[in-house]
Amino acid sequence: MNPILKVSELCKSYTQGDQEVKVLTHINMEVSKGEKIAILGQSGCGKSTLLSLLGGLDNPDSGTIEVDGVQLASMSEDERSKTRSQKLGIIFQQYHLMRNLTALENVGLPLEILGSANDQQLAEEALTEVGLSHRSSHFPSEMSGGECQRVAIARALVTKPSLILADEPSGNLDQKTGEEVMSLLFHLCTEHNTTLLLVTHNRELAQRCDRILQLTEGGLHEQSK
Amino acid sequence: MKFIVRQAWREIRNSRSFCFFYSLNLALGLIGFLVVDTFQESISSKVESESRELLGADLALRARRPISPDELIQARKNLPAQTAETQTVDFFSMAAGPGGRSRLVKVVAIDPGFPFYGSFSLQSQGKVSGQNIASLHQEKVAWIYPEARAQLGVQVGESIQLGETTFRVSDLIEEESGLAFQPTDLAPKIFIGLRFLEDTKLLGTGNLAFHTHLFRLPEQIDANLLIEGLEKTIESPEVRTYSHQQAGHRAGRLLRYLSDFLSLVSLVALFLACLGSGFLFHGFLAHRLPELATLISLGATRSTTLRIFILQLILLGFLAACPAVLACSIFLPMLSDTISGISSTQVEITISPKSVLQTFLVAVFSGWFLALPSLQKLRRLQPAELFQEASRPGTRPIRKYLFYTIPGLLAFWLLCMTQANSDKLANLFFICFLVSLVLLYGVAGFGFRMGEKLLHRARLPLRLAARSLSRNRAGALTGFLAIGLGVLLLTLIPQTYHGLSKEIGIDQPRSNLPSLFLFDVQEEQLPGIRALLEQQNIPLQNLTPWVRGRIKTIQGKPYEKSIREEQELNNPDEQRRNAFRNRSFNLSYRGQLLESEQLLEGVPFSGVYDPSSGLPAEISVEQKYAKALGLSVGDPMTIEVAGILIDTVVVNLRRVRWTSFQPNFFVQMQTGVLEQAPKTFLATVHQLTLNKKEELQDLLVHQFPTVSILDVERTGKKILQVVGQMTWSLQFMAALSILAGLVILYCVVREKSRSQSWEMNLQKVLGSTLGDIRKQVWLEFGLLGGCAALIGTLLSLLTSYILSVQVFDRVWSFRWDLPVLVILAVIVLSILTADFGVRKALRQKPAVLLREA
Repeated sequence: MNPILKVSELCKSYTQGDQEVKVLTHINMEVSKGEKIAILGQSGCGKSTLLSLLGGLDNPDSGTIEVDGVQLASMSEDERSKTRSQKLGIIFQQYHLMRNLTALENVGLPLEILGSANDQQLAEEALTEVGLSHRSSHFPSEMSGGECQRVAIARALVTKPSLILADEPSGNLDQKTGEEVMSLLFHLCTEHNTTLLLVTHNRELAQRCDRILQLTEGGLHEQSK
Repeated sequence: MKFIVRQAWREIRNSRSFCFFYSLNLALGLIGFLVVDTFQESISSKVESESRELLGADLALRARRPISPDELIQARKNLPAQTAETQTVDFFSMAAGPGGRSRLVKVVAIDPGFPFYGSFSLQSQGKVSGQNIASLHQEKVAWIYPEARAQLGVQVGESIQLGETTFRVSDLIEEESGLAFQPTDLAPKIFIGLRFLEDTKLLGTGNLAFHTHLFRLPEQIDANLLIEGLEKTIESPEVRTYSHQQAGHRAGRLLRYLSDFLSLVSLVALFLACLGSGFLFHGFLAHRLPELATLISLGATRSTTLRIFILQLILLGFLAACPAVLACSIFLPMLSDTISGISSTQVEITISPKSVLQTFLVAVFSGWFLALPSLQKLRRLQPAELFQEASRPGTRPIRKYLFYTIPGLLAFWLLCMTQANSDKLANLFFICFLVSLVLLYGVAGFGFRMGEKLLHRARLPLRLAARSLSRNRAGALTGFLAIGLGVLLLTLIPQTYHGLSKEIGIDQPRSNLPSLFLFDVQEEQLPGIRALLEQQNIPLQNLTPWVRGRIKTIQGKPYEKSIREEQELNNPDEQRRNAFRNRSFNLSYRGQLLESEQLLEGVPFSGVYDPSSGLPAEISVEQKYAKALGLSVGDPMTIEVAGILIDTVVVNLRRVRWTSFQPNFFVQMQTGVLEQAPKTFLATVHQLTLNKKEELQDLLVHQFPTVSILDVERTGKKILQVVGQMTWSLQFMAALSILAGLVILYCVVREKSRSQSWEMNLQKVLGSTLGDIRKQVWLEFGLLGGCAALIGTLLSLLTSYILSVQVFDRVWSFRWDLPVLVILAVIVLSILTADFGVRKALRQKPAVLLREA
């Protein structure tokens, strides 16, 4: 079976002052369809950079990223945006919902970008899936952190993407709410057979994934569960 | 596309406050733009369409003496066959009614055919064209202005005395065409047939009369194209050539002064509005950047995101342009009366489709250009930063975006050039603005750094305020620039207006206005006139000698009429200068300046001329006249007076307030030179009642029939009335710019305080009391507003001075109260707005704000 995500020899560095800081060096990884992968690592080890590259939000210095058979690194920015809207869903630690849009509008936004004809109906279904159909007309400022993150999950899943990139989805939430949100995310990914790449500090959370990858200065290494 | 439209609409729907202030700002600027654009459009189209009627012909030759047959033969050689020709003679003279009442009138003697274009509108005969005027050329009849009927005490059918003959008044003139070389005449006109002029014996030796030969060209021939040839053919500088286009320009000359100022106000109002709108958009976009990064992370392309905002700006531009066009459509026709008071032509002000289209284009594209620097932030947005907990995407300062202000600045320069009446005004305004921008930027950058250093040991609120200004550099700089430029533009108009109002005599007491102006007073008549007035207990004032002279050489070179390029003549600045160029001129002599004169360059007269010194006589030259002749202080000039050559030197240049109604001359000579020269005198008589004035006029005319008397009070009041109407226009436009300025100041401070509300709440969390934070806010915004207003005001004074010197003929006077008032107002407005802006944020629970961040 073809991997849904294939990363080969990925390198990324930044310039700080006169110095070049190598953030990622020769990262290699393959993720199969429906797999749930956790990436663990200390602060500053390059987790966010890796997610940016995988999400096509930044360009690698070298190496390749293949998402669902599509080479991401060699694409133009607009092509990457299109791929992102079709094949990727991103969940941020800080939710990043549109403040001036209602929950329903936030969820429907990726469908609108795609030009989907029945965006309203699909958004309502996604919102129902995360248990927030009763909050559809509420703005983010009127919802709790947990609810906002559930809206963000619905937004990430509404286009039925091949791969979900999640950056510490429970990092801003209390333990109980965080667990509820993560359970929902795992449940939905399983139900839709969506691949999940989860970046976290939380080893317990990582244990719930199929595989754990440790990001260190030396690269990405698989850890036993 | 559907997504872009939907998202743009959402942005508008969800950012009502931004949209309201953005559109309000832009609408105010567009109103100013549209008012002036329409005003100028209406005037020029009216002047163009009526220019033939104003001149009464396509071409004219005009001189203060009869044009010689040789000159006419030469002129005709330049004109195509089938050119029709007629002539007129016009001059001032006294006329007497049947009861013996005498008044100064302007006699216009016309030949058959005049006017070729336009017509006379007569009270009993109705409209009569040039081809249908028979009676005037067949018998001794006169058509008179209605005011002449009252002044001379004459009725239609009765006779008036003109020189040695009489004319029967056959009709009253309601409107007339032709010979509009001056926008207003000092006396009512009387039209007679040219063939009867000789019988009056009024045109003896030395009498001043204008002789005009008028030509009607075959169709499709452009009069302007023939002017150059005519000017080359006729060498005498006394004969001037006019095309109907030039006559149109001359008729609208008074309007140009107003138009220049209005152009300036229009540019100020528009740029103030653009500045405000640009600043608002900058703040709005900065606020929206994290969400835009999110949008990109969801799969929207940068170009899609960019298009959302461009569409939003286009929609807002339309929203701003609609009320502006609507308001102008309703209120602009009211300006028609104002213009009619200033111009002799009836001008109807209607908004043309071109003006409307132009307004919409400006509304749409100004937003685009203004947004360019801010939109660069969008182009450089790093959505990857969304993964970083503490980073706000797009908040890093991007110096390079300043580069993207260049297209906007270029577009504004183009707008200045198309909108302003003169290129000079447009360029000066633009350069002053650019220099001010750079100065403000430099002062602010340096000031913030120094402020932090100097105040690092001050009390906590002041220290924090200084630090906040220095560390929130991008925001503080933008705010400082916006406030500084806003204040600059805001005070520029009232400051320039103040100088103009002093110049045109808006504040002049009416008591300064003389009742009667006596001229052509012979020296030997003076004792008699004095005695007559003393009997009446009336003083004779402003007695001024009037000498006729001719310029022979300037700077040692013979003075010849220079042939002006047609292109130059089409330039209003050049036209104004060229209007002065004439070898014959009037001069006077006096020891000192009048209160209506101001020494601009050079020194006062050294005293009475000493013929034994062998030095040239000292002259003082009016600045505009000096400019037209190319004269500077120290330049020699030879003047011929009654056949005698007098060597003179320019010792000073002075400005004359012509609306002072005092006898003023372009050239004044020191005393001791012209006392023995042939001359007449001018004098004024003040504060007469209506009856006394009529009684005195009759007495003077009876005893001194050659003395010309002008009722200046009537003319003066008319001028003051025009000034009053002009004031209304100026004040309306100035108020508009002030309104736009206040809105932008409010927006700037509001935006700045909003952007800092989070930091302030963080201080609250860290233990600062509300009082401390408030004090810091007051200090920070008071300092920011006060310093920006101070620098802006100084730059405004400098700019208004430069503009006044360069464009408004040095009409500048310092008004101290306005800058002080503006600086205080800005400080108070900054503090109040900032306090209002952060109050809402301070009332919120810190946790809410922290979570928002």
